[in-house]
Amino acid sequence: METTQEKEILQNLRTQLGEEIIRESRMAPDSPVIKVSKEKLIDALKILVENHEARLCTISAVDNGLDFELIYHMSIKGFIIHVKTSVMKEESKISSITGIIPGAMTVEREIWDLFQIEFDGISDPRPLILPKEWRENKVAPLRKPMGGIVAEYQKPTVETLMEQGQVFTMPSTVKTNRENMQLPEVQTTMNRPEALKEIQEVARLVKFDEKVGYNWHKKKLRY
Amino acid sequence: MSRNKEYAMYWGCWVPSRQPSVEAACRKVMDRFGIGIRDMEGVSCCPDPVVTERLQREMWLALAARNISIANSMGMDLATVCNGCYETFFEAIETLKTDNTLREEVKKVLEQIGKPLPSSTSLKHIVEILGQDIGIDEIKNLSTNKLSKLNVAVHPGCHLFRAHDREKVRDKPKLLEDIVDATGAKRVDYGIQRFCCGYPHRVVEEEFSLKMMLAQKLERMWEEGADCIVVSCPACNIQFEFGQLELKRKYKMSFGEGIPVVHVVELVALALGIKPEEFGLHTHRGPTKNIITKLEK
Repeated sequence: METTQEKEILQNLRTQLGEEIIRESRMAPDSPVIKVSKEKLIDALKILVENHEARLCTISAVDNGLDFELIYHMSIKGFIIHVKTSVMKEESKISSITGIIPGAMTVEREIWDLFQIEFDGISDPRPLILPKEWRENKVAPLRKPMGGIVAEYQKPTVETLMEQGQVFTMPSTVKTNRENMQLPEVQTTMNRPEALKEIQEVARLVKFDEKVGYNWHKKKLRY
Repeated sequence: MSRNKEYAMYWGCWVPSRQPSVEAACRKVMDRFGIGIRDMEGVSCCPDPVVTERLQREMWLALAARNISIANSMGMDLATVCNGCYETFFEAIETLKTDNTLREEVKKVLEQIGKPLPSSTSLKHIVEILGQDIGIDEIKNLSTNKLSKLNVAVHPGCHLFRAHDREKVRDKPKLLEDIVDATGAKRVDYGIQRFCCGYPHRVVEEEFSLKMMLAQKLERMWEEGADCIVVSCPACNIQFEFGQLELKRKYKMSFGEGIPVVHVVELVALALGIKPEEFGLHTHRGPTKNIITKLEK
């Protein structure tokens, strides 16, 4: 349930960050979660620290296969607000918050050790719990291999669906056969660009692209 | 028989890009019986009822609803030649009727791409159009009796058993058998018609799919003297045709020169006396020429 205090904090964040608060949900009835882009993370935490006297409890890191989720648990006068952000595994890099919360340094170093996420601008970048050679030579112990929900054998199906709206391409032999049979031109998304745009828009609206980990630029899954 | 009936024909992904002979045969057969089929412009994959639905139901339903909405805009009932597409549209129509939350989500998505939520839609598999709109007697009357020497193993495919009522699950598979009988071909009883061809398993465990599922069916069909296999689903067609090539190449298992596979509309086309070259029967990967040889004997 949203208290007056919570309402005030969220309103303040909304006013100052606007659309940058991507999503709001709840971890427990008295425990709100806000999701911000990693570019706006520092701004969000700064508002909480400077305007609401928030303290950092700790940072959780979750490897979901495609992206890392970092959750900054902030305590504000008796209740906890969780600020969540995502880091793409291909980048594995985020700004350190030690500039505004110096005490975050040990947690960031631990996460760097265990997940291989680099904290840019951290006040002390040395390894915390692993030998110093580890970062250069070995995979971080809690880092999973890059992977998403689409199984290997399903990848061509999903990629062709996203690129053409159909799950099969048209081989040139079949094209010739169709002409020989005097079949009409196929009128699907395969050769109707405006219809294909609709399919791709649907994929974005329902966040199918995010869920399967599709890279629109490369027209391929990210794994 | 309902002549002059027109359908919004959803060809799917397989048929236009892998089995154009099914599309050609269907167009000719429907024309012969006075059933109009109109192509649906701008349709996407149905999407497939296995991969996409499992990955994200909202995406699957939104795309299916968009396709159904295109049929609605044509003012026609929706028809398909594919069991998989039939399964998707059947379930999508049911879901849009019964799941208020998903329906509202899909409505919002469609609104954003300028499409309305589909209204009540009637869906037909080509087997129903052949067996009910055209009618078994009509097919029998127009069949040339050329197929009487042909022994046919019918494979209905799993999704053809989809029905609203439990008592009706065998209606469409029975209709498929009746259509084959009406063509004059001799249907062989190989005992495991309901058994899956193994297509869905192939992409997960190919050896199991080919040796434990496909080969089981092929052996029984071969033992019963089938000259060809008749399917109502392009995916089953691919499994039977390419699967036999793979069984031979990888596991040294073969059934004579291979058992040819045709879609039921192709069988009806042959029965009506439409020449095989007119609808491209030779474009199959299996030995469909053996069907012609048998008929010419």
